[in-house]
Amino acid sequence: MNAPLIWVVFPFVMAVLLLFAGTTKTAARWGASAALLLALLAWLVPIDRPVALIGEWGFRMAPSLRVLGRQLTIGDAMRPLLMWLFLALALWLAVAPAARMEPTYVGLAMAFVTTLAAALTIHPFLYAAFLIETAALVAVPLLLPPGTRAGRGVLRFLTFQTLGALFVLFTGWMLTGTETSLPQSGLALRGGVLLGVGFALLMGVFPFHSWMPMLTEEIHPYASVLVITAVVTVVGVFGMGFLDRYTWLRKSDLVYSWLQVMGVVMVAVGGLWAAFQRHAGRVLAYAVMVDVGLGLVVVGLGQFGGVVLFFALWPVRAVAFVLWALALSGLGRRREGLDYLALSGLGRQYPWLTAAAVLAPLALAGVPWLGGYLTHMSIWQGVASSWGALAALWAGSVGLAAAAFRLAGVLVVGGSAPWRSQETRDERWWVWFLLFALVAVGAFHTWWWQQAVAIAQTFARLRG
Amino acid sequence: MVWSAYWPDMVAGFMFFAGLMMLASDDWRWLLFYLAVVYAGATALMTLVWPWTLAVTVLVGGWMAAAVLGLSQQTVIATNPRRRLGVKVLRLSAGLLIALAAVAVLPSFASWLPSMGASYLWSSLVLMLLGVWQAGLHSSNALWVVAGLLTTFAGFAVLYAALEQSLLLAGLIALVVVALALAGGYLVVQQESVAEEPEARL
Repeated sequence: MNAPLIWVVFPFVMAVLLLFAGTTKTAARWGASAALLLALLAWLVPIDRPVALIGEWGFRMAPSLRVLGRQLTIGDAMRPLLMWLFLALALWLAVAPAARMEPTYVGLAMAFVTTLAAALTIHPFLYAAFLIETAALVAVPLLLPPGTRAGRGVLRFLTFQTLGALFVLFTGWMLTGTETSLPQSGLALRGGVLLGVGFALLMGVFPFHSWMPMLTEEIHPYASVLVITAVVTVVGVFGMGFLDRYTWLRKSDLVYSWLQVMGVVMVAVGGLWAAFQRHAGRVLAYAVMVDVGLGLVVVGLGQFGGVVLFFALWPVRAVAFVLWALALSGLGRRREGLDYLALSGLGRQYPWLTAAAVLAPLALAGVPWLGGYLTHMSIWQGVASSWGALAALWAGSVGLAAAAFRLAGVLVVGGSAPWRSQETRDERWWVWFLLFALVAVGAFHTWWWQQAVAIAQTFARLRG
Repeated sequence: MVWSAYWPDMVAGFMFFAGLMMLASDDWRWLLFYLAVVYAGATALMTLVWPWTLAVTVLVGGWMAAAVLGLSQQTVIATNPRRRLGVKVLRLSAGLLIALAAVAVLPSFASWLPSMGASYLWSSLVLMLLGVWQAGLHSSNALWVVAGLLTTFAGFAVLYAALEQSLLLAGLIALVVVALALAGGYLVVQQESVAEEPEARL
């Protein structure tokens, strides 16, 4: 048995098979079950260690698979990471029928996430750039199923991902052999800058974020948010890998300072701009921007605690964005769009979807009693030594919360329809389940924190 | 003087001309013709550092990409409006400025990558910049954006060929180029076939 066969090849084959499913429900049932099984295997089965089955019978899962002279490697330390990736994927796929996605959504989403995950396993790592580009290309039919019009958002997404992948590929060559030795200062500066630009393009870091609001405005929120969150999550981990691999990068104060500055700017800009949008889809994109910014801020702390916080943001990210995207899918479908004018007064007929659309951004803003609060508290404590940074983070959170209340106002205040819940049964069940999960993430914070520590162990050299 | 001494300069000149004409063209046939010329030029330059059997993969990939994009035009009903001469002149001038910018940054790039000849490096830089510029100029037209990205990819392939010589790399570049064209073709079809219909997904 071989780990890359199980976590890369099998889901990819499964994804191709799922493209032939007749209904979204069938595809989602199989896809989510497969993703859940892969998450379970990642949790339970050790890699490169003997596993006893019955008596003396057992097996050992090999960590590497050779493909055309290159290696896909999944070490035992990567198991928590894979568990979380596939658990989040299972959630996205399971909720897809309630968001009324096309049957091909499930297969394409699985292929997309698997291709991105494969980028984390390939050696030499510079080939990961090709996989990231391939994932972006797979995302095109995922974002635009037949019958929907291609707007500028997808084109910009494709442009930025292509340019970002080229930057990473070039920098990967440039920095070959400098893992442990400090390169000459000129090379370090050039490499660092090019790498920074490459990752900024891929992750939509300010000022290269324009593709995110364009995507969420033009494309179905359930497709666009999956693509954006998967890209920023996996590319973020890939970036951490760079930081972990290169000693001179890891030891550079300038790198951490820049990460913090960019993170703080993203949180403040994302939160404040979210409050002034007039389209619910665009607010989603700015919330992603806030989340990415928080990730940069915590990595910029330059401590192992920061790395743990980076991964502690994941559970809320997964649950809140699925919930939010589901809510906006439901609301948008009823009014042919997510413009505030179109959504006016709709909350009276769809109170559960309204609650979901309001509580999800509040959780991401770090409002007490919801999932993100304790992680936000830890982040605020981490940057407490700098009043400017703290004020900017608060401004971002306040902006995002204001955007949530503004959406609540738009949905509830306008219109004269009587209050009556008209959501379908599956929508209601999923909203209840995800709202419970959103509160549970906060309530069982210690358990999630231990998981975040386990994932952070993957980056052995970033322990401070 | 032997021809071979001027060979890279001539190819670089042809590629720049083709890239420049892509900026000014408003007919998809000419756009794809010049894209094919760019890939032919890129392949010719790459034969300086790669065996031609390896370099030809880029040519095959690039021409296949142009063919795929050409096929996608079968669905296009509306023709692009002809641009005024002034617009074309402005775009050509911008292209010339890009060429000058590439000349300006050439010495610093040459110090990073000393093994490359000046015309080789310049042609790679200028193609990448022209491609990005084109993708930015036509940011709402899928065909032109993808052609711009493919031009950038051609420039990058020229640059990377001098840095790494690997069969897998050549294959991957060709594969990504074709896949990009397929995605581009799909986007063109989506843009054209539902251009008149309202958004029906939400």
